[in-house]
Amino acid sequence: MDEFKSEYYTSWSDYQQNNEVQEDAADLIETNTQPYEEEVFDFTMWLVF
Amino acid sequence: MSAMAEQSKERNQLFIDLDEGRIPKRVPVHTWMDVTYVMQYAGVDVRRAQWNLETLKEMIEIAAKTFQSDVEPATVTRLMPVYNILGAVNFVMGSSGQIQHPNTVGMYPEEYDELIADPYKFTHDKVLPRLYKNLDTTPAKRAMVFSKAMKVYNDYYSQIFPHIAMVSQKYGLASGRVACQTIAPFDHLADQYRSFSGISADIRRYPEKVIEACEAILPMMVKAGIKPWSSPQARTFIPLHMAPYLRTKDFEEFYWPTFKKLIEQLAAAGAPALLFVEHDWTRFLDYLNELPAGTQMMFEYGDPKLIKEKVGKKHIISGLYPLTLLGKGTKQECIDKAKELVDILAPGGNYIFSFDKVAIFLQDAKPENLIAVNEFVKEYAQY
Repeated sequence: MDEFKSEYYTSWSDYQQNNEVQEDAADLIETNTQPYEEEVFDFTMWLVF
Repeated sequence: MSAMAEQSKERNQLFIDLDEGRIPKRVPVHTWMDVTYVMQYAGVDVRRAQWNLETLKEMIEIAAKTFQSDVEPATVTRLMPVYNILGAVNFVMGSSGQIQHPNTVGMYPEEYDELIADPYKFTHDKVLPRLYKNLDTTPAKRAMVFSKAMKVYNDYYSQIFPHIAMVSQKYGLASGRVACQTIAPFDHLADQYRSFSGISADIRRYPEKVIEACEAILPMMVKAGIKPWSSPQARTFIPLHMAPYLRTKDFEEFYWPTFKKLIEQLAAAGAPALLFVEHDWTRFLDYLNELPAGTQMMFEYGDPKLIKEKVGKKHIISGLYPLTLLGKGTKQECIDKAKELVDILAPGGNYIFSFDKVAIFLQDAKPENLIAVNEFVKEYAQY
């Protein structure tokens, strides 16, 4: 499935592309970044459902 | 294993058997009621209770132990404190304390190209400030209002969902049947963006734009409908709205293509759908039968025999019991109706007993009748 794209949504691959991600901490950075992106997405959808 | 844990396991197995294409030990019973129905039953002030997280949690527990459903029946879908912070115009509290959904317009017809270019950005830039007036302000203030509202949303649901899981275990119920929600692209465009009257005009004036918009919205709806915890037992709930109001030709052109893609993509991702088939879909039963096998369909209206024949071999059927009979019928009349439906829909499996609507008002569904019917089905509908 294609990755979801929007100017206002930062996927993990977008994040890696736009930031210098410390390789040996990438897993920790992802788990402390991506869930919050997803929470904003989920909340946004709740507002229009 | 405790007695309640054993009961939860047995009840979960009823749904697992259905989802895996086996005939369960008996027909599972899944009743849906808005938490405000439980508030009325418990005699609390609905207008005040909508603002109180602890009361919401009490209502969830009362529902779990009272209404004889195999799954927690109370649903908490609308949060007044969030709407208050946002200045919602699309969800407002009525005089009885119920949260009502007035007809609203979040998007104008000249904005189709902007929506099609980036639906998520468009939602934030244009739709939300129209539906939530406190977001119609400076960027800094908008960010603050959004943050406050999202904090309340998370505070509430981070307690409500674990509470539902806890009371389900405490009272030996099955796990929740819903993982998340999404919407058919055409319904999404109609519901809070263009409105019923707006979309009805648009399919005549800008048919290509409507089709393009549905295609553009589809990836956002797919994303909304898949969660890491999605499974055949924890499904993606999709209430269906507009199809019965469309001519068949318009349904085929505007509604069906992206709706079908949505359900197929969800199923392929391990997130099968639980459709609430609102109003009368009799004209579209053959289409529904084309959806991936094992889609659950909770029907509001229709001929149970025809539905069983057309879609009941491939899909899981629920609904069709007229909830309002519980409000005006005698206990025996209510039980007789349940027997009639079970006799039609249960043979061969693929059936969950549900009412045709979510219970909202106490006068529409007398609790004593609702409980009697659920008890009867659990006793009678054994395989």
